[in-house]
Amino acid sequence: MRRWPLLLGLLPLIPLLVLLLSWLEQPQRQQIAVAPEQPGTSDSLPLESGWIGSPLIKLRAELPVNTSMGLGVELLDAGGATVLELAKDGWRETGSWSEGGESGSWDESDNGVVLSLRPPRSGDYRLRLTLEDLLDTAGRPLESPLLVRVEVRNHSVNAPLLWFTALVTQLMAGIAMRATYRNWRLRKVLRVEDSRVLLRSRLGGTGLVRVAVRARYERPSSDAGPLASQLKAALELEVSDALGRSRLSFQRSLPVTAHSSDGDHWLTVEEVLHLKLIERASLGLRLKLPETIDDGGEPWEIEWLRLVLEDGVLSSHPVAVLTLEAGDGA
Amino acid sequence: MAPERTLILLLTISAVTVGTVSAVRRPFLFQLGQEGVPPGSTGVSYRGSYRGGLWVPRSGRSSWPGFQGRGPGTAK
Repeated sequence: MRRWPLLLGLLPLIPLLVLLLSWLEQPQRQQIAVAPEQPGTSDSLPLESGWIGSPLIKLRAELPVNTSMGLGVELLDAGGATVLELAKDGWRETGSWSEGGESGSWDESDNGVVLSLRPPRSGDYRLRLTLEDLLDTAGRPLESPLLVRVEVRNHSVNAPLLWFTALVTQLMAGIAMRATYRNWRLRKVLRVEDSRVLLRSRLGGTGLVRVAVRARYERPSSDAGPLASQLKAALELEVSDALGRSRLSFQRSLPVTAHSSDGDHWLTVEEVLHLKLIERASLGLRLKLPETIDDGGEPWEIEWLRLVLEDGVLSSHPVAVLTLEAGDGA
Repeated sequence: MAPERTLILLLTISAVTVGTVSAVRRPFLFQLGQEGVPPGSTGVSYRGSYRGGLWVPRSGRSSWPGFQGRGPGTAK
């Protein structure tokens, strides 16, 4: 069993956790009322220059319907000097539409400014807003004041990059887990119309040897279904080394599963065994199931037995392992 | 451990480290004092730019065409 590749599945949680922490940051919020010829200045806004996220300043003007604005924005440092100045041309317009018997309304606007930047050093800054124009759709000036909402975060992160990182990491973790858990070697696939299989193969190395057995039983002539429940079938497995010395003798009573379809009935027996070898070796496997299963009616006879033999198997979950000593390595 | 698995492991850890650290530290973010102006957005025009570490204002205001919405004439 090897579990560490499963831990790779937790890696995408790291960027998502960072994103969650950034959302938990409480922003500083202020409202500034401005009117033509009456600039407004915010209270002190501490901006941090550290490397855990970066400052993000959002402004949103509460524009009346069907108006446009010209808003001057200045960022002032603690000494009152302008360190950034910009103009925002914004608008808000509403209306209704009707076409083909359908109608509705619309309300569109462009009334926000987003500034993502880092100051050269942490300190207190202020915003000075100047309402340069507030016009109706006819271009007539309005004298009403304008409310601007300010929101400042000091630890904003690049959310799209974090989502992308989580996605890429998830893909790569999936590849890593697939490379670990689905990297076994197929050694033999046999399907015989018999109740026993004898084979020899060179097996072992890193990981486990997996022996998958499946058998099917049918009644020779009767169409009757199972006459008893909880039927059992004895599986015998014997493993011998290159010199024919027995290294493992194993028996297990397996549950029998009944199937029916369109009046046909059959039984199946399935089992997967894991063997642990100390070193790579040539091994002989003798596997046997009962030729018939008796439930009181006509005995069920074996139709076929299928065996799949793989080595280099790594499991992400605990499995029962049959340990056998390696042979002489011949 | 097989070399290809080691490579995949290193690439996975590198991807999560570089992506997360870059998203938090944001090394390419505009810093006040840096030459130029921050990246613009819709309807925003900067009235100056940084030169030699100082903000150099530019006088005058650019004209703009006014309403940019869909407008009643094109509403759907």
